[in-house]
Amino acid sequence: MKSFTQNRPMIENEYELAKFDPATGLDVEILRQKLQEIQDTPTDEPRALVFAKAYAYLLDNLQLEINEHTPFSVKFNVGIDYSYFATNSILETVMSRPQRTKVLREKMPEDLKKAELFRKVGVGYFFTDFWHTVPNWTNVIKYGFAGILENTKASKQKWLDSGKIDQDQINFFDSVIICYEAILRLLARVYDYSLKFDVPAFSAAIKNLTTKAPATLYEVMLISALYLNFEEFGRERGRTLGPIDRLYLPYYKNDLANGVSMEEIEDLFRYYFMHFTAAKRYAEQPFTICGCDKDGNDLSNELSLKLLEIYDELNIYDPKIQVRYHKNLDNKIFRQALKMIRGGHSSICIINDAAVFAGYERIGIPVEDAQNYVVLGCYEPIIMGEEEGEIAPVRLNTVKCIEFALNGGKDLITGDQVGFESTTDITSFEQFFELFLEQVDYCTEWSLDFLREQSVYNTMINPAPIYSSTFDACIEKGRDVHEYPLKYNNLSIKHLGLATVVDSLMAIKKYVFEKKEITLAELTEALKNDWRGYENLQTRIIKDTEKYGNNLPGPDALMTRITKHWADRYCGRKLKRGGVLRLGLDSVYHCVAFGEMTAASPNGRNCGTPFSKNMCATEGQDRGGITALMQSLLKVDAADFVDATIFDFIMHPSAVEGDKGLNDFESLMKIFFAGGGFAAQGNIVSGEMLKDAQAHPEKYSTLQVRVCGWNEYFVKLSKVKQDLFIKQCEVSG
Amino acid sequence: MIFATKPFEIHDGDGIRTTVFFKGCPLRCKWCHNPESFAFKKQIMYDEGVCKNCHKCVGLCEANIVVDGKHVFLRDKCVRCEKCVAVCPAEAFDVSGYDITPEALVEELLRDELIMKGSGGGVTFSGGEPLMQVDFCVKVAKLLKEHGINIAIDTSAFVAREAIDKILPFADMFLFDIKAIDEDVHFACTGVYNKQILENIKYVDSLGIPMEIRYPYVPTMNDGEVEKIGAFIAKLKSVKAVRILPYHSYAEHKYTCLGMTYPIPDVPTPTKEEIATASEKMKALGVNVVPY
Repeated sequence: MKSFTQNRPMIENEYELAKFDPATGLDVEILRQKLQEIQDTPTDEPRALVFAKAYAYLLDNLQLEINEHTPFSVKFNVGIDYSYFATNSILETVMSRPQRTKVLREKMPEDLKKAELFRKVGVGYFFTDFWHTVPNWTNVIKYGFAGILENTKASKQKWLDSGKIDQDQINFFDSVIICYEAILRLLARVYDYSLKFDVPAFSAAIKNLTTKAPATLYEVMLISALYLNFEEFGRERGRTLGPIDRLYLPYYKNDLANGVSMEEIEDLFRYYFMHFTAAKRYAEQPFTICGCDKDGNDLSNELSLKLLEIYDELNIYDPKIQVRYHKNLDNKIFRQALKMIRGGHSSICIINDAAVFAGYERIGIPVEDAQNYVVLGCYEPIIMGEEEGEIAPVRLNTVKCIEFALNGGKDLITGDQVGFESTTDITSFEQFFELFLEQVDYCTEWSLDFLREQSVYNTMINPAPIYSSTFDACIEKGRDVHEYPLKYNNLSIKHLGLATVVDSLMAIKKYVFEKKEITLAELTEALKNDWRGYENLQTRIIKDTEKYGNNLPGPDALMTRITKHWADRYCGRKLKRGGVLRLGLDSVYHCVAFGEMTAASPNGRNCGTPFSKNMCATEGQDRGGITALMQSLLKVDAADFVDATIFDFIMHPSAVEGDKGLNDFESLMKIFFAGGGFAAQGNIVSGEMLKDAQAHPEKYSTLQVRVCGWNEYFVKLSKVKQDLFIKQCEVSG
Repeated sequence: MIFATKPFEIHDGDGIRTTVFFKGCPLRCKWCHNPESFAFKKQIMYDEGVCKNCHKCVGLCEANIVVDGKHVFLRDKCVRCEKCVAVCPAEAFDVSGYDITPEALVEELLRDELIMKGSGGGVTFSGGEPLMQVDFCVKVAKLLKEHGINIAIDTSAFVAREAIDKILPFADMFLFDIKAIDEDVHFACTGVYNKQILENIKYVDSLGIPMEIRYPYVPTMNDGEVEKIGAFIAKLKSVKAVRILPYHSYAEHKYTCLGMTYPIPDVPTPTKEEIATASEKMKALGVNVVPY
């Protein structure tokens, strides 16, 4: 085999250039038709079995490709468009999504209509969140596919022997058995096919995995990569590779003891990372490293630093890296992470164990369990093996609730009554403020009702045998993960647009009720007309420096009143289905998409433009710089929002240059974490650099920027998103 | 009067600092990147390129008029009423300079107390020339010291000895520029002679107060001063570090916005090699040159 450097070009584009062998299976269109037929054929068969049989059919018939240039050689043809960030296997598009609509239309038609209205006006999107899962990697590695199958069969037998088994349990066990038998058949096919190629190590590893648990570091990596494929083919998405420094350490040490050279091991990691980079799905699988236990002992190890160094040298942007920070973290590792961020690796997010532990404690989960968290997707902590987190079934646009409060609960653009019918006879700021909170509460409570009802039908929509079977609790109890057999079955709700809301409320307080420059009715008209006729006032409001994100008492106090209200009302609320409610304030890109559907805002924002992202200031309004933004953010009690109160920093390269710059960067981050900050991610870029990149994309093909829980190549962002970054840089950078 | 405070400043002393920029300076360094610091009074800055020709400022005063459909700012008619600043949606206007009480300034500075103390940083008085307003500086410094804030003084040293003496009890560190040792070169570069400057630097040095020295390296202007500056610094005993600051012309646009002519449009920026050579020359004289 050639060297990694020689092979790299043949791996980087392997998904786009894949040539599946027609002799190995059916064309994806034929597979799609067959799945469509299964979906369309009326049947009394339980959905778990319909799903399992469809899944087995897919695996038995999909086409293969072997790439001789990588040890992670095999690829499967299930119609996934790798240019799109989300999962879209044919099973998902043909079966799972239409099934959701079908089930919800039948079971909760009125609710579905209202959810669609929420979506239409841009106040909230609802999902059945199969897209954020943390499989129990410990079990995947410990048992392998064959072991999981055996455990399932043994548990089924135990239940049969007890005489207490119910039909749902039988269906669950059978669905797992059907799926895992299909996986093993597929591996056997892969093995046979691989013999035609010069990939002896791959063939041997695949052969082992058809009957055994992985025994070497390579086999651990291979089963992890394969598992993610197999979970995705069934619709769920494993959104972390787990705490790989700790998970992989015994195998790494064992390999070294068995004579595998360090160079070979480092190469393996290079190929492994490239496997994920090549998929070019920027929001996909991150991995977590470092962290401390409940007593504060540092859990990092020699692999933690090595993984960072190898990643750094590759100059890639996937998989993402989440570094668990705590005060006893080996400073060499911390500085390496900061150096990488400084060098342009915006794929790194640093997350604070102390804040996460406090957040879990706030929702009633002790540190003994919280210490085992990994970071899912963007920054959401999930306790691997014990917690099923539906972390993004809904995001609520709270900027819209300002519209509702101004307009009697009606949308300002469409006139639809979406919020509750409320008075427009408002005589004080306090009255308006309370009304705003009530409108948010109305939308939140309705969303929670919707999600509670929807979750009843999760297994009718998309059973999850592959994912479920990684959990001891599912196998022991014979229950799909969506029937909530785990210790913690939590649900998250996210409130978006905080800075725009705070700035809007400040503007109403000041210009309507204090200065009396405009009445609330006139302001509502001005917003309906996108500020036409009120441009001078709009300018004054935009220029008013009393905005969130500048460490100013006025706006920050409003912000904490709002967040405290949400926390008191919702954080840790017990759910009827079991589990508790978690909160988050992260917006992802919805600040752009929702912004397009949101009328002008009292803070001077124009109709259709983005509103504030995550915990950032409204674009261009953090005039006090990074330290002020950070301190505004620290006024939120991060423990109330265990899903995320993220610190997005943008710094000019000159602010972190040299040894002194790195020292100061380190100080800043440590101050943030010592102050209870939850997590930090950022970009070391300048406005000039981004403008140049916008004008000359060809010169900046590798420039990465942190977007939300992920980073992307700047030149591939839309102009609207690019402009947002440039504006942020010009103020903060 | 000050014209800005800048938090998260890492180039003006130890740790993360907030720098206060005082308005007014007795020097006219030809490369100065803060031309708004020259005058001791408020100034209106106008960026023609940003103007969107909305004409909202027109008619508010005599300085803003329309010629051939295009907005024109007549600086000599400007009475600094700031009406244009308030109405301009494009932010083409800005005011440089504002009065502030010591108490209000300290309140603002202390917003970053957590950052300053957590990073070993503090507050830096810069400018302009802060010691031209030394009594104000002392008032601010006294209040800051009540909170245990580290204070650095970034001064041209072209001030009376009394001014230095007044601020000494509060200064944890001095940042001095040395632009040239040859007095004629210094005059040509800055408009003043350097005797007082060098004497003041030696004086502070003799008191053992830590200092950092910067040498703004400007090709064709003071690039022949390397050895002389190095030799001067080598004799000082309280210098913690020396930084060579390569000239850049980023401030040219600011001159335009102030209605001023950029004094040295043809001076090239130095190459990395030039800076490295200057650095090596100084190091050879025993000077602790650190990267900027």
